[in-house]
Amino acid sequence: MLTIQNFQKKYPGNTQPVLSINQFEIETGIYWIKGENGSGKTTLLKSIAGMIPFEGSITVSGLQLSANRMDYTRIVNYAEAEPRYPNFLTGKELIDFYRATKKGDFPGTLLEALGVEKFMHQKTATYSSGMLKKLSLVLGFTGSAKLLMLDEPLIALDVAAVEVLHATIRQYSEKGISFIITSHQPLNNVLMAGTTTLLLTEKTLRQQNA
Amino acid sequence: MKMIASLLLKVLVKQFYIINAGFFLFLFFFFFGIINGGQLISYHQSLILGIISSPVFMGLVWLAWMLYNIKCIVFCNSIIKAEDSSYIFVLKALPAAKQFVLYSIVAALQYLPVLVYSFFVITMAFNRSMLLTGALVAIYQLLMIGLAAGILFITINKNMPSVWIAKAFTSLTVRKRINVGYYGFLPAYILYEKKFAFTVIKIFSLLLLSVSFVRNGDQFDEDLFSIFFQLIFAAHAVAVFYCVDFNESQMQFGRNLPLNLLKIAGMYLFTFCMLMLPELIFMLVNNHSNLPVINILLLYLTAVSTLFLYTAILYGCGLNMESYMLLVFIVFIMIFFLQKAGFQSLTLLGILVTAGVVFKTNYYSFERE
Repeated sequence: MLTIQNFQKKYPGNTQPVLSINQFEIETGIYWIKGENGSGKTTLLKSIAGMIPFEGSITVSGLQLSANRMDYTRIVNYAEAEPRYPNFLTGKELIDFYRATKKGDFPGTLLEALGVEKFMHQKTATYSSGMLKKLSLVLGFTGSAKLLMLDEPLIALDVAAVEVLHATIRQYSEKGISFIITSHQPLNNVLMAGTTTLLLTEKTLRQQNA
Repeated sequence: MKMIASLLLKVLVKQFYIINAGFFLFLFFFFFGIINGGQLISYHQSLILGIISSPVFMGLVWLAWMLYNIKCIVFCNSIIKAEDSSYIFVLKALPAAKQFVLYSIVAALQYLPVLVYSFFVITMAFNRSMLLTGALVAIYQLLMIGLAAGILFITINKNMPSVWIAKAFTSLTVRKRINVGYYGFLPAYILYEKKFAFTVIKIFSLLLLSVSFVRNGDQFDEDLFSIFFQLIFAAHAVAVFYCVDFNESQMQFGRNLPLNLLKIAGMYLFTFCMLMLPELIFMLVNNHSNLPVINILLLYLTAVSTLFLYTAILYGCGLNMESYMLLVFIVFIMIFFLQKAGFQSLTLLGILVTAGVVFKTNYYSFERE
């Protein structure tokens, strides 16, 4: 499902790579990336999401990012750890924009369960970090993703929202959608049962049991 | 007040000179080091005489001063917006007038090298009874300091609607919410969040156009107008910087959306068409047969394409302000000579093609430092 080849990520102005992955492949499933602060989890997810440049190749479901960017970004979604949106836009305008570009399905149930519809007509400048997080999760689930990456999805969420999110991940996973999640907080037991742990250490990615 | 002033001077002025020490050393060497000591005074006297006698030369010097001022403004903005600078926002608690005085001091001190040189320019102009020229230089410098102080004020107070200036600008905002589509994101950003800078740029721009089309309407000087018009789109370089900065920070999520490059370039071009619309309307309304309409349209399209070229340059140089300013200056010189040689259409085509190629090459390899 996801193949990473000859991957190297250097920050601008630096000659030394912060991440280096020669060959890595995973099948459909739920993956939990563990790593210390600064180990490069967000950098890796942003690279896979096509948000920052890198050397090498990343392929999801047969679509290579550099060669098929439009189709690739339709099937790879990313919800940021600390989402940031234009202050003058409302949540509704962002949702409409995502729906128009990502096409496919809209997670109406998640929108309702997280209570986003109560505040989506306000400008994002007025949102708390929890509200921004909920909006980013709704946007992350918008479209026809085959791979959904959630960067620290549990931070800033209240207990009820965490439950909703766990249930949604399970439900989407049953439909064959893969997840890569980074989290310093543990996922719930039901979800953990089917989760493979990946380790990001010494600038590279490996499966925990490999 | 003294304590706050000294803190601001330490953070915004001292840091500015420390970080740019190499730049100032280069300038000092360029202006004072390469000339024989005995000829230094007469060299600068001739240089200043050239500035005050030739409107074209004066225009070029104004451009250089403006680029330097943009550099100062961007430096302040980057410091204020840095995560570890949140303490600066306590300044909001001060009365607006006091804040403005503080920011004017900061702006004037950053702008000091230019002020010192322009003091000699003004003195020489007055000595030669060129009172209007001297006064114009003085007003220009006040405008530059006011612009920098104003932008600093807005940046720090933007979330404080009780401040009088913020209120005044809020009243300029369209009250009714218009659903903003993708192409409207950047114009909306400028109107909502950069309206002060936008207003100052437009006042500056329309002042220059007024001098060409209204004040000198009966003795329309095409050379002077050409310089003025390029000064106008060079002034918009700061708006372009804001647009790219916004698109790569608050809109960075757009890179994970299936948007093709043509659409992204289209968004920038649409924004610049909107941005330069007041100038186009002003020229068409006040033309009085000074320029053929087709030339005005060509100038408008050249301006839009040049702003797109600035965008492409920013993607190429990774939002590095020093390289950006240098390249804006080089573009200014090149366009001036190409247009002077009468290659209007060719210039437009050249700018568009260059901008397109540079944008396509750099957009996906861009990453903020």
